[in-house]
Amino acid sequence: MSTRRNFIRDASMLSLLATGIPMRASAALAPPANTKKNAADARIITLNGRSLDYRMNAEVKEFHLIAEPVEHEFAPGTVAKCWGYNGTTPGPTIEVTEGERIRLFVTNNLNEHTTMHWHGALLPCGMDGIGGVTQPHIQPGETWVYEWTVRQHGTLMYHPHADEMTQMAFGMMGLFIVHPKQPTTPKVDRDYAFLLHNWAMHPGTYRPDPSVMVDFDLWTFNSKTFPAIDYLYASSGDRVRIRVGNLSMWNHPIHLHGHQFYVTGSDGGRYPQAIWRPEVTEIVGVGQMRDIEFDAVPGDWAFHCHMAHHTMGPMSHNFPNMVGVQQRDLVERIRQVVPGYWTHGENGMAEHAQHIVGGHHRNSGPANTMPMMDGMGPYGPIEMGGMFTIVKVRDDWDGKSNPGWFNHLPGEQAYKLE
Amino acid sequence: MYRLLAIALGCLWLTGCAIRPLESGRDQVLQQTQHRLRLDNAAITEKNCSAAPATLADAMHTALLCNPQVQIALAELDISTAELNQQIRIDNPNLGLTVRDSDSESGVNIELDLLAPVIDLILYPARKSAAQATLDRHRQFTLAAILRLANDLENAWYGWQVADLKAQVGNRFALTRQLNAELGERYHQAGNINLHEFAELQINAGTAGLLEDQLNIERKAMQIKIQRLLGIRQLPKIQQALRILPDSDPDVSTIWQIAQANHPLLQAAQINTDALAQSLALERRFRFLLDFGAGVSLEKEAGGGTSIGPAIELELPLWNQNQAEIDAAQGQLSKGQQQLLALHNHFSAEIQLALGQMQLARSRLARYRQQILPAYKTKMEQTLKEYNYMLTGPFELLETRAEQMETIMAFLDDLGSYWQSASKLSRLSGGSWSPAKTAALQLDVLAPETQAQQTEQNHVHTP
Repeated sequence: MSTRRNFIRDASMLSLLATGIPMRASAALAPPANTKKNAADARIITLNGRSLDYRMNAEVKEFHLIAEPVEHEFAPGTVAKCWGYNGTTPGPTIEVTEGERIRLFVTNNLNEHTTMHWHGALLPCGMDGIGGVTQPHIQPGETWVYEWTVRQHGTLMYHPHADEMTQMAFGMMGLFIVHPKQPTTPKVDRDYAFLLHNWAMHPGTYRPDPSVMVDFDLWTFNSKTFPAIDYLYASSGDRVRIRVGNLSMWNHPIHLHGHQFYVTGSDGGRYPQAIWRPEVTEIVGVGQMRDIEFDAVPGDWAFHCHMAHHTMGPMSHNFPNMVGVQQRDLVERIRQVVPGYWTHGENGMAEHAQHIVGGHHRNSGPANTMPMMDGMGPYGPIEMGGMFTIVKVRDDWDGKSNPGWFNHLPGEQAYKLE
Repeated sequence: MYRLLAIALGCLWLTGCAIRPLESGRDQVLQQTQHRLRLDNAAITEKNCSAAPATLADAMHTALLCNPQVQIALAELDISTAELNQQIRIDNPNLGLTVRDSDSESGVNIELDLLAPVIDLILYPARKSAAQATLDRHRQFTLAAILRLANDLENAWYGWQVADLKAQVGNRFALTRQLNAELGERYHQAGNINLHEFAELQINAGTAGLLEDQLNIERKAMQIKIQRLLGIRQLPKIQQALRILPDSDPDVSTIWQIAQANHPLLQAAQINTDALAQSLALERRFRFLLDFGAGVSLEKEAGGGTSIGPAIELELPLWNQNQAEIDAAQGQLSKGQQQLLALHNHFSAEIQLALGQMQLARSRLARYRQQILPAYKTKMEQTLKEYNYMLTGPFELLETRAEQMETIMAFLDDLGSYWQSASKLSRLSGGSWSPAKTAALQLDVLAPETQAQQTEQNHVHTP
């Protein structure tokens, strides 16, 4: 049934088709050249990443994001043909301040159309970047401009809203941090941020599989997997904020050891202190952002997703349970038909990690595939993978380098009963 | 007169005695066999029938010396030769004696007739020529029989090699599935897989065991077949590996030309046709000379007088001018020509079929060697790598190996098919064509112990 509202909508569509896409040509509207770098004032520490350069054009802060294929390394030995922005996945972090007029140029260097959605941003509807709804898609080779005045602060994200299943599965995402115009208290000393994601990088392959919905192979903080994820560093007593955004297809209970942190913010900005709540684990739901804050306590503190399989490297979902299977007497016979056969997992899967870090089977897996568990600590294999890293807090941290493993004070470390 | 008569009788006697019998030619047949089979002449007579041969050439030597069928074929040639000699011999002279008692007192009347079958003498060259042709055919048949025997042996040898290799691979195949079932039992006992999954592994192992039994029986059957063809009591043991393919196969026209020039059955058919044509010509030439004898007749009369003189006996071609025999010879010739033509058609078709089978096998083997087997090797290596990283379970790992072995068995079937078709082509060429010598087939899957030992040496055990 035709209504007045439908008539207006349909008329608009016809107008769009008749006149073509929204377009403005102006010399002043050229994307900022790459040589005009100015992100030195970045306040965010993006794990394994960086903040995006910008330029000031009169009173407008201009950014240029280029959607393009990227060669990405999840960890040494595992690379993938991904899509991202400005050469990386996730794309560089955009940092702006509440009240600024911003202009974001988005160039599509993919072979498929795309758009850019500013996840959580308060903006005019026409700048929301929903392909087919708020704008035509950005065709390959085209550059589109998004522009608005920022009226909020908080931890936001950006990602395409076109062929999302593919483009996000390939790594097209980034952090969009809006700092408050007026400083809030307590002051944050170290402001970390990263995105959670999952990847169907089947063993031996070089391109994520966008059709997978459940059984993913790699679980990443900012597209890196342990042990390639950066550590988080702080001096004792520092106020540390960690901003976590989730663009994966699972919820992730993010857990920090040794601290009772507060959940202090999200895309809605830094919450009033009255609603801060103390936690040791905070679930970051799909599409959500959470900021946690804590006063750093000395030590090497594990920081990870608490879904046990999310702190693992690739593992078969149809692998039979080996625990408790006595088969060592069969090994020699099996080697008669399968040379190189060995047993692992009879007493638990830690044996696998021992072989990996011990070097016996370091490179015995399929090409471009990391082991299920990896990492070597001062006392043995860490037996982790995926969404795992360490928060390193020291009394005497120099502010820039890795202080190494923590030296526990006498009487402050577990000991073996003789 | 008497002198002339005596000379004639003497010549007749000498001629009858001087007829030279045909030779069977068994030595030539054996030499031809050796030549066709490219065998060392000396080795045949030196072969020991109590020793089992290890190579195909050895086996050929053994079969020629020890297989009774070879000796039977040669004995049959001797028998045929004797029968032909009997057929071409000149009939003995007939002696007729008549004694009659007279009524008078003058005594008895005696008649003595001595008649030689002159017709035999006249037709002797033609008869001998025909017998020679028949003997030549029998030689070709004998050669064909021995070559067929050798070819059966060659064919069985290839079959045996394939059966032996397949049995070896089959044993490993069954072992692999058996190990998978044993592993499954451990997993089931540990409570990690259910009875259904365990049963599946047991079924696979049992099925593989059935195949293993079958392959072992087939190997034994081939061994016994070889033993029978060799004519020895010991079961032979193969020391000669199955060979890989030569670079190319011959074309149809080449083999056809070789077959025409060399195959004993085609040669025999050609000899038969030529002999039948000659026979028809003789029937026509001597159509009025049906039976003819000559000799001497002596009569002693009762009165005391004696008379002696030449005598002849001649069948007069008044009512029978041998027309039926000529017609029969004409029919035989026509039949022989058609049989030769049919044989040509048969050989031509068989050559094309054999070559077609070789080319099919070559094509399939190329696909195996270039695509399937390397892919399986890769798959196996990758599966092991996945197993190392806990991405694939041990059941899939062992099953992949089992599938690889199944594929190798199928590959061996095609390889055997190629060599057996090549052997058939060799037989169709009368043994005058044989495929080029090639390198021995290497099957890695049959020697994993060495790799396993190396792996063991390089492997660091988990404490």
